Amino acid sequence: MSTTGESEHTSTASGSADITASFLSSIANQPVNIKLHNDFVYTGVLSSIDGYMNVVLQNASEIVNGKTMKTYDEVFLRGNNVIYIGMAA
Amino acid sequence: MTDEQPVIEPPTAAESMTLPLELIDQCIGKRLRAFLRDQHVIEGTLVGFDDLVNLVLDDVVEVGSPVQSPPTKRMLLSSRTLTMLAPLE
Repeated sequence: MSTTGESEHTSTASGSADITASFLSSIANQPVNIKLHNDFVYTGVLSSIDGYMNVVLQNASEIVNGKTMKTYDEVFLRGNNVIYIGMAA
Repeated sequence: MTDEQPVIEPPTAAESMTLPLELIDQCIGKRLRAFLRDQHVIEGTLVGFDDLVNLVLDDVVEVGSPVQSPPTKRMLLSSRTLTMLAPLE
């Protein structure tokens, strides 16, 4: 799992600085919900992610206002649009 | 023999100062609300965070969301539009 770019850690008070990186590696190949700033939610299997939160999902569905609008075999989401990446239930 | 009072030095400015990230560190394990720039409010239990204040949260609900969804077990919340953290309890 590569964490590029933003993952340079200058030392701070936090004892949990690696938790975000380890969460990202723990959800690889798991079903996830990803919410973007346009309020679209994408649900799919996380095939790849980097330190910018750029994401590739497999078998993704696009959910708008709780309704599935489209499905994609494979989709790339640019990290700057991501609000959150959550484990799907 | 002069009775010497133990001298209690007042804390220096550097010692008494709480760093911002230390304050967030004290919230680990506690329930809190994260307020985002676009009126999203996310409530969850803080697991950890990184230097950019990306948050890892457990049992997350979106407060005031029109679409009711079951709590997300664990999620990574991007710091990009994070404005305020408010511990509950």
